[in-house]
Amino acid sequence: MNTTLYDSVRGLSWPARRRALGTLPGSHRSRLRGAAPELSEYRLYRQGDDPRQLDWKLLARSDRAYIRLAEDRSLLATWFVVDASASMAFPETTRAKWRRALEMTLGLASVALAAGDPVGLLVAHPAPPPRAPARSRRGTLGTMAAALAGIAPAGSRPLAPLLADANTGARVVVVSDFLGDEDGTRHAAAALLAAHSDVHAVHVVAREELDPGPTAIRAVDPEDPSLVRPLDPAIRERYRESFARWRREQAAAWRHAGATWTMVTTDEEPALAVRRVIGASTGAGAAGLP
Amino acid sequence: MTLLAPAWLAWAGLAALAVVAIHLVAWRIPRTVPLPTARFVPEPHSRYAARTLRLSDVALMALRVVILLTGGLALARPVFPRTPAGTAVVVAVERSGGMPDTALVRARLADVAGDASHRAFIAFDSVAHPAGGESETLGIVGRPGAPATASLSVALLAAIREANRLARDYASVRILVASTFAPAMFDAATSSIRALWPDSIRLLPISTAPVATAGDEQTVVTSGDDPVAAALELARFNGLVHGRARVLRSDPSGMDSARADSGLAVVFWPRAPHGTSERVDGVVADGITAIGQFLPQPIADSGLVVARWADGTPAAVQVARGPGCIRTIGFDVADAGDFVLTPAFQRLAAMLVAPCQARPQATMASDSMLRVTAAAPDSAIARGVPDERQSPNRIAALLLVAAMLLAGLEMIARRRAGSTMPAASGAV
Repeated sequence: MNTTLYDSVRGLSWPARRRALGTLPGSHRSRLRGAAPELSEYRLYRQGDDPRQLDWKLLARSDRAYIRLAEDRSLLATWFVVDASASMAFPETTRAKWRRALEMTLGLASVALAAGDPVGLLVAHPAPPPRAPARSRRGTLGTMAAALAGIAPAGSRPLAPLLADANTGARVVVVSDFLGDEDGTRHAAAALLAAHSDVHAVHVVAREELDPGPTAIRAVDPEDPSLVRPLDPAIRERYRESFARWRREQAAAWRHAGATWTMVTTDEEPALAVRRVIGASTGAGAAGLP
Repeated sequence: MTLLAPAWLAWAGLAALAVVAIHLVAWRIPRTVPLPTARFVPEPHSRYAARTLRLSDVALMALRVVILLTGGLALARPVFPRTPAGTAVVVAVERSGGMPDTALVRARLADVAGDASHRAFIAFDSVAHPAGGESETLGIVGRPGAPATASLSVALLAAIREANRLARDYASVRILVASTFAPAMFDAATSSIRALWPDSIRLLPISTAPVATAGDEQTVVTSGDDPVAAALELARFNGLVHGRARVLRSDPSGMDSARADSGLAVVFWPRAPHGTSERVDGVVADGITAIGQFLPQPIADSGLVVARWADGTPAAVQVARGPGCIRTIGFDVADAGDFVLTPAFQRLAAMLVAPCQARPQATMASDSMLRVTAAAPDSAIARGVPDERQSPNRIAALLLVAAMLLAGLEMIARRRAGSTMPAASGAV
């Protein structure tokens, strides 16, 4: 992984889309309100409030009991679920999709780590690296990079079980081409969203998939060798329409479930792609039209 | 095999290559490439790819290639040149009424044309009669009712045409014309037609005079080697001498006068005395001219002049003796040399020893005309061998017909292949 990407995304803020459930102080708005030094608002004291939050000076001046409310900030664990199935090793010569998935994972992880968020990695691969708890300590990014670098995409392991393993209330980033069990993955993501998690779908698409080129080929699905179909210029347009329609449907389904959907292509600047993913979570950037 | 227009075959080859290329493009199985989004490729198109792998297309392609190559080969006009070998002779025989018995003609032809491996005979009079064999031709010649005149131009035209045809098959072709060569046979076109044949033409003069019979004989009274006797013998062999005569190379006797009185032509042709100087001169007798080295001798100025020197002075005189005559020749020829063997001297000698009342008239063209006709022309016109490019090419026609038939077969095969094509043959 080149350091240019890390330099390009340094300083980015990736706020959580929901209030974090964490208790450890961090950079994300927490669902808890308490004794944070930053005043948010005053509210009349109600029975059951913590008397320690009463503003005694204001009570003395106005003879009314107000309590001080403050915005708590907490950490947000971020889990990266990376698809390392055979379809990600495309094109065969450059494996641009897999490299783009690595860049997106490590770029977003560096942003999360910069905010102090613990980062964890789950890889859908027949021989995945051992699952470890999300960490924010120094060297985590290097460990992730080393683990991903040692993986050669293969097989067709589904993503849904990995999503089930992710901690609820965390931020889950799914980096995949979603050409396997896209329905199962989306349903698992919907369950996470229901459990107050924040789910981001990063759809990695190769430029060659968008435009296969004018040469006639016999296209074989790398995850299903029995699926072989001739593709020549005469039907290329129909293929492109079919693929675009599927992307639109997937994006709509994921967004309808509450997740963000960002399509990144292999010929796109990686730092820009990272910014678009972050922008999709904050609503500030385009998520990329499928 | 030689192609007269090979460019057509080259074009046909290129067209065949194009056909093969088109078929290969249709047959080539596309490269298998992993594509994760392969499931989005419309499925029905796979049937088309499967159809292109049909084996019948191979036969169709081969048929199309064969059609193109056959057509191109036909347009290239192939010819199979034959290697000429052997010799051939074209014999044109006159069949006019002036021709003598065919036995003489047959004998002369056997001498001059016997070594040829092929002989073609043409009988001609005012028109040419291409005939097959020698017997058939001579049968036509000897048949009664032949026209009185003949045309040498006709004979040459027919003979040259036949010779050109034979020139394709034989290494050497000669033309032989057996005719009386009467002056009337030559016309304005003769020289032009003669120039069409670049080689020399063998002329075989046949005398129009009746052939000497057993009773017609010449008696030459001489001693030792006598050139005049040799010339007369050769002239007799050539059919130029006829009638009875007695040639004396020494002084005549009383018996000779008696023989003259009885009607015999006594020719006194004295030998020149030793030491007589030779003189190059010409002797003319009834249109026959012989030019050579003579040994002039004094001659009496009385009598009928039957031959004159070139300056008009008498060279031979004749004195009538009843039904016969005594003829005196005023020149001799040298023993050495071949002057006496020339046709001109033979005809002159035959004229001088002819019977008294029936001296032959000049029924044959002059030597100069015959020589010009026989010799090869100085500027020969190219041999009129027909140009193969303009001649019909039977092989090309057959190939063209074959190509058209194959084209029809290709249409049938194409329709049959289309009708038997399955609607869906499954995936690749």
